[in-house]
Amino acid sequence: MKPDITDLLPLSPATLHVLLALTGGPLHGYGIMLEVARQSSGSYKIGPGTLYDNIKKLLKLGLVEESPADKFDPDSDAEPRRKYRLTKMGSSLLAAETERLTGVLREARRGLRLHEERQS
Amino acid sequence: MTHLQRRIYGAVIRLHPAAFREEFGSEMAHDCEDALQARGFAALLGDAIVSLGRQWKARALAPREAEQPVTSHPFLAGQYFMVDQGRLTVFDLACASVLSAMLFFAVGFAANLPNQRAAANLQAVESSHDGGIDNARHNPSFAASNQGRREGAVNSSYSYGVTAAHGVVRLGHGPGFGGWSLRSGLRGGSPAGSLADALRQLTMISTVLWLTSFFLRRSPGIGKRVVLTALGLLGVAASVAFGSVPMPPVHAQILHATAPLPSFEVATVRPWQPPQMIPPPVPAPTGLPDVRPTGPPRRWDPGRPGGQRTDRVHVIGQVSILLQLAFNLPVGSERQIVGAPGWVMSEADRYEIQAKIDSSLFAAMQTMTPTQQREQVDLLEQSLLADRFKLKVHFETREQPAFALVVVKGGSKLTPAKPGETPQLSASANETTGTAVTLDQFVHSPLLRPEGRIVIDQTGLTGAYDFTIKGEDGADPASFFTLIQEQLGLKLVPAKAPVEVIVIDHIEKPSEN
Repeated sequence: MKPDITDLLPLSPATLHVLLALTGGPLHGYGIMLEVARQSSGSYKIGPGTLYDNIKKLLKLGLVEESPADKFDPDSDAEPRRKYRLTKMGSSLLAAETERLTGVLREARRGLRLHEERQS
Repeated sequence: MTHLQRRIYGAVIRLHPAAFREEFGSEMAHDCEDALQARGFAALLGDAIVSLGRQWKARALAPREAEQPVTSHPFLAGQYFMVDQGRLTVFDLACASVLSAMLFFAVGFAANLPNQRAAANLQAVESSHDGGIDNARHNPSFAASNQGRREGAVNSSYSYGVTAAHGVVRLGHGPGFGGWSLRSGLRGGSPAGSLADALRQLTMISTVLWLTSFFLRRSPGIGKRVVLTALGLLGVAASVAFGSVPMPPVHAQILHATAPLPSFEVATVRPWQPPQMIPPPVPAPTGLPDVRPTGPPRRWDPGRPGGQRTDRVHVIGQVSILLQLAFNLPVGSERQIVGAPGWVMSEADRYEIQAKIDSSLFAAMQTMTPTQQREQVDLLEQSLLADRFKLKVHFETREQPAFALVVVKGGSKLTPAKPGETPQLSASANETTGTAVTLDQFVHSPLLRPEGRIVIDQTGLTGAYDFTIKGEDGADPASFFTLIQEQLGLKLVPAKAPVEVIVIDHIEKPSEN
């Protein structure tokens, strides 16, 4: 039986950003860290510890998966890096969280507008 | 990234749970290298440390995975289960170490309570019997009289009966005699004391059980692993404490029967009273040493103790002495008999034992070494005590007061033995002589039992020596300490040592013949 993804909501900022970073395609750990920083314009950064805490959790829940390794390059000395990609369920969860956040945002905007009207 | 930074970050990664570390450890290290310039080492290290805490917390609170039965042959279906035990981590080991240490000390403490009470009893005895028995213990000649006690049949009675009548050795006389009554009163412990001990033990065991259940309840997966590991560590600790690094009882010379006890062909046991008239000295039979303390020095050969030369055994003495003989303890080892009723130690309850060794057994003994012959007689006496005195004992190792033999500051005055000398110790009423004797042999001999305590050789001297300790007639037995210091350059220092003791479970006065 598939878990109800709504049980996982709301997502923590780190989880949300990791999932969001993977929407652009498979990334390795450092790539995710860079993408998170880029998406937040540098206002939110995660370190390797936080990243892999979340990756572990997301892998276990089936929200992300390991991407097949790139073709082996014999000329490269670099150790091949593991890449992660979003699964369908991960994508659904992100959509659900986005929807939730949209509602929060809408409610926040309405509330702020009413607040400003009362003040004026 | 500097080498030091790499090492520090690597150490933090290694502290993570094994499963996490193996899956993501190298990736974390790579990403740290990549992000160092942009993020700074402090931020990355802080992030790793926070992650460390989260991983251990998640691990500790993780629910136990269901145990899956193995799909197997129908005959075996349902009989076996595979349990994914996982690998032990540093955290598991740390928890288990703490738990096993608590278990170890709790069990040790609980087990030690009765011994502490017994030790307290012994201390009470020590402080109370300041009379006859101590005097006897100081006297080397008395201890020496143990030797050859059975060698001359009737003559052996000089060792325990007539010597006392002669006034040479006085057992249990004097005001200190009452000390044994005190011991008798304390031995069993008061009901209140027993209840307190029981409550303390119960508390300790309850604490251990509570801690164990706490681990199991808190997180069944890790709890089970921790408890199993704790038991394993406890086993290792116990084997190290009692096996690989043993604490053997010092002077563990108590004779343990390893086979059914042989019996005398015939034996009589009757209460014995000292004669009113001092009988004239009985000459020793030809070829047999005279064991009378007033006679020639009694010799004790450390390498070749005397054997059994006749098929008769004749012993007179209080039951404590019979016990010491039967269990191969030097006379004066009353401290090594625990739990005895007062009459066992009382000189007022002396018995005369006359027994004959079965002819076939005695014939077989003629092919034995002297030591084996003596052991056979010891076993016969154990059998007699079990049969006539309904004796039941068990053995324990307890820490008891002892003396350590050490070299004084000025150095020892011992003379190294000459090549070719035969090892021999001899003692008369006021002189003890050793020839080619090692100090280890000396402290294990019955000649050195100050205050009935065992002596541990801590001199570090390993060679064989010649020595003589001369005292004056009628000297205070306490002067023995001074004598060996002045004449041998050695000193007896109070100490404590694990000693094997005979614990009497049951004994009763003998029935009529």
